[in-house]
Amino acid sequence: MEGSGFHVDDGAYTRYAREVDPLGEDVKAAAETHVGPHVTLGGHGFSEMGGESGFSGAYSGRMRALQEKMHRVGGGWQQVGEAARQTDRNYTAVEAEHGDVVRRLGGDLGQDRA
Amino acid sequence: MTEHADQLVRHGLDTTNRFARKLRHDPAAIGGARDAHVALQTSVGTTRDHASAQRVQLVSASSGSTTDRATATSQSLEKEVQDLLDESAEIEQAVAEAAETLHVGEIKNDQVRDQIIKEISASMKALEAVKTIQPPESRGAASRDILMKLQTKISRLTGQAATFSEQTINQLTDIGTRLGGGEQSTSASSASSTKVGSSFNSSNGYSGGSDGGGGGGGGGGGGAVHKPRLPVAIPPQPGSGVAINLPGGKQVMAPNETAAKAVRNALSQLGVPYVWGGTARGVGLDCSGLTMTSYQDAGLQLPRTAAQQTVGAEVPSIDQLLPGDLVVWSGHVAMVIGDGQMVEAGDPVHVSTIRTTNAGQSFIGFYRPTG
Repeated sequence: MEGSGFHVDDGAYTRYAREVDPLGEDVKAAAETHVGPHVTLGGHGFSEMGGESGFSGAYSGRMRALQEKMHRVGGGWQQVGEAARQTDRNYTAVEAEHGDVVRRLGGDLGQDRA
Repeated sequence: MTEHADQLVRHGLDTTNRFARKLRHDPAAIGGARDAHVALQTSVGTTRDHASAQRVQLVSASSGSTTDRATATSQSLEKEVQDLLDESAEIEQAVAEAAETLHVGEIKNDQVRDQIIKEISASMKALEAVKTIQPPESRGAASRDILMKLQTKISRLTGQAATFSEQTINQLTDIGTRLGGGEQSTSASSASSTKVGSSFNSSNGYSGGSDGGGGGGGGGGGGAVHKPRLPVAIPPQPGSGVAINLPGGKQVMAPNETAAKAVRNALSQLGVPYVWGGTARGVGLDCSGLTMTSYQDAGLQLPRTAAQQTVGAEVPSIDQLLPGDLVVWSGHVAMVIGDGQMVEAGDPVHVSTIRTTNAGQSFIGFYRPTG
């Protein structure tokens, strides 16, 4: 689409959506694989002293917060993919509308000539 | 072996053994947590790079305000991904420091333990040699001398082990405090999440990159030193309260029977030696062990560590303190007994003037556990 101050190559937003789509799932999967299982440590963990000093609690708190943020950011990328697809649909609809107008104008002009 | 020698051999290693139990950690689990952060940074770093490359690709295939909105949204989310990477690196660093601290603590404790074993072994040999001393009447004095020296050495070494343990827990507290502080600062930024509209080319579907609105974030955790939000303690009404007789003979009034009992319980421990991690009344107590057990015996359960004993209601100023109130620092706690005094587990448990300073620690506040 070429026009007043902007241009969009055909299918640019669809391609963008396709590339961005997996990012959300990637971030969420990283949270589940690399953070979730380590929020609290097994065995003796950080030791009794780690617990009494407050370190273990601080560690678990940060890990839980990180996991939540990763899920939220992952959701954000999924929304970007959806928005990109909707953007492409909006362009397609506008293109179709413009085509209808041009065809109608062309028809009207043809009738005038006749 | 005499009974005295037997006692020394049996109990000479008690303290270092107890510290060893408290220091026992899980290197495999800690290593696994660190490796997970390295893997996370690789994986999420790839995600960030891919997002950035696709944004550049979109800009080369389009232009205009729609593209501007799409790229602004992408950049805002890329920034959030970078924040995740930074946070992961920060946690990984803290875990590495804690692991090193525990490892060094274990080594130092083991060294002291080995030294105690050597001292006991050398003393046992010396006691054997005493059996050959002539005349036989002098053997008793020689044995006593050897045992006294052994006892002194064990006490000194045990003191060293306690110092090392205290250093270890202080270092862990510092690392945990920094880590907990990081959570508070990053949870503020977590509130400013990127808002993504339903599309980038519809004015009503787009609400822009990021903003500063939203509620608080960051759940869980705790353990780090911080000042809790508590209700302010209500001053007692005239005519209420429970009398306590202080060691100096003066009579003061506690706000209720639980606080009065806690103060009496704490004062009954005057002279008890300081033992790190100690909760054995009449035997050995640390600061929070004194306050916890004193309230426990009065029927109220307090958390175990000093910095956690910020419970009940906050007493806003020193002039409103009543018997039973707690004076809490980041790594120490004392109990107000009235008449401007407090009882605390130094070495031994003693009465001192109420203060808000304590070497190397930050003052958290005054608290009334009975609210």
